[in-house]
Amino acid sequence: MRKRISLFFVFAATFGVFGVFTYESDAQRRLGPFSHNTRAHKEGKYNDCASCHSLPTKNWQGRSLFPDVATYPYHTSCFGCHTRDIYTNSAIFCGTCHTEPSMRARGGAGVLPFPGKGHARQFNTIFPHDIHQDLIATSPPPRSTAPNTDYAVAHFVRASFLLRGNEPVRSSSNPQFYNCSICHSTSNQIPKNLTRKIGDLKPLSDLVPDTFERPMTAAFFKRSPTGHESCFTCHYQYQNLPAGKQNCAGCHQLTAPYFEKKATERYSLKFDHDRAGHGDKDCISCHVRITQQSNIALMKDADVPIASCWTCHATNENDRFRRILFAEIESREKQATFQCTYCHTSAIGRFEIPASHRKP
Amino acid sequence: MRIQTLILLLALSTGSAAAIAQAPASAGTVVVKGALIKGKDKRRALDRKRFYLFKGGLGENQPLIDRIKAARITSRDCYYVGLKASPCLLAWLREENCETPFCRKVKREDIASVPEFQAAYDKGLTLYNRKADVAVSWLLNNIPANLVSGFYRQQKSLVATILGDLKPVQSTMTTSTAAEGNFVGVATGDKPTKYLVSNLLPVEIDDKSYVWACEVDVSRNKITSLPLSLDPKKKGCTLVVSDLKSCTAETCVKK
Repeated sequence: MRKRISLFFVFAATFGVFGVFTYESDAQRRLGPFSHNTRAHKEGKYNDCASCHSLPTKNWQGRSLFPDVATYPYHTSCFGCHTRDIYTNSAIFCGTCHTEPSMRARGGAGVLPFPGKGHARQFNTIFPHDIHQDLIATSPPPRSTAPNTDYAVAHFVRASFLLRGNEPVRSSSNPQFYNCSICHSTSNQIPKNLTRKIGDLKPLSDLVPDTFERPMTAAFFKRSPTGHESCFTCHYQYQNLPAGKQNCAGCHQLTAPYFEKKATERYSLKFDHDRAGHGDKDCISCHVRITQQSNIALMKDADVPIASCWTCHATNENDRFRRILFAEIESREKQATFQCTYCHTSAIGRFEIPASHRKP
Repeated sequence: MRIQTLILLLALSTGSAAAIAQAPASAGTVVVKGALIKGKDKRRALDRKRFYLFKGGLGENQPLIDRIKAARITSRDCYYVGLKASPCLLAWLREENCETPFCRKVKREDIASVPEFQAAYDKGLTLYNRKADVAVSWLLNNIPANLVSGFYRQQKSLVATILGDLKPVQSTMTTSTAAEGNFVGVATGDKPTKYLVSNLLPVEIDDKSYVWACEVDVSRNKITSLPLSLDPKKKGCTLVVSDLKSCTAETCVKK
């Protein structure tokens, strides 16, 4: 009897161990994310996105404040070619869109969140800044001050970050120009942020702890649209798009899969967009080349030459912040380990001074 | 073979690094200044206007200037009157000196007074499941395309005609705070290089339209300022002035 009991436990343990190693969770059983980039998915009738996607989807009212694409295409889009997949391989095919990767898959709450989370993006957004700047070009009431601005070639820095949903926009006392801020508003929360990597220059000293004369706030950053909301203001159901671009491909361009950066990267993490002298200027006063940018996919980031800073921060006035660019360059020339920390954190300020920073 | 490849790669990378480092040294900047150009209402007329930069001075770009002079212009008012737009739409555009309805936000209170807005709003309510907020903020989707973007398309087509095969080196837009536009990283050599700056598209000021074509000498590491003026005799500039055809619509009677 004891031998039989022992034998039972040995078998049970063996099955248990076997089970642990052979069990697959739903996530493990699931096929990879749907790829738009296979021949079958992008040729023939599927060259037209509308063969699968509808705008709006039937469920938009429960999911969105405005008519939107709020879920995956319906069964009819898949079953034409994939009927067999439902009856083979334990129907894991169903897991492409459903939480349950089997024949037990259900609609409604049983459908995976849309758009898919954690998946690589398969499309670039086409957004010609130049055309939009031409069209949305309003003049505010006349102003008495006409600051002199000087510019030169410099780096690109990313000024905006991605934020989903209907996160409230921070109010500001600065004038609101009806152009860039339509899409690039100020958020209520500080995004994850990092210092941009510098390629060619050498660090001259070690990292030191950073101090912020003006504590970092949400107003340091600008957000970028992530969904259809701001685009649909003028382009719902492909309105106001040029001939030949009146479809999804008018704005979405298939590309190699990529992951969005989760953090905003800046050269000057101490720059405050909302500060007097910054927030009361038209964005293109500093983002000088954005109005000729026709393809967002070719943009490394928002473009701000250092010379945009010169007008106010590289003068000979007897005021620390007015000549701070000169003052920091002079200090560096006296002492190689001096760090430029008025605009930069130590991660940048300890590097060699680039040629562009020296005013001609 | 490997060493040769390595040397070649090193030479190439050193060369390209040097080229990048030298790029700012062989470039200059042009600042177009339009703050002094004002209409009778004392408002700056050159806020948010696009300017183009071309290689060569006035002489080299004479064919371009001839095309600017020959261009047939339809003013904003004539365009919308020609489309039989309501007098109130035209009044709404004029209020903020707008060329298209994209130019400023359509407020709720504007809707009742502009028939085109009212029709678009009503259509939106039907399309967007009676959601009034969406119908207001998506109003431009439901206005006929000619009224929304037709004038812009006409302007683009005029630019294409004026340019012909010529390609501008850069374009820039003037700011709404100072009416200044910047051409940065303009290539130049040891000696100053001549460029031409022009807005190509006529700017309407009161009852006339203006196109500037001004030459500038761009020097290495220098900021060249180009203050624009309404003086037709200004040295280095050709100012093309045209009388605007009067296309007055009926008076807008607000509801």
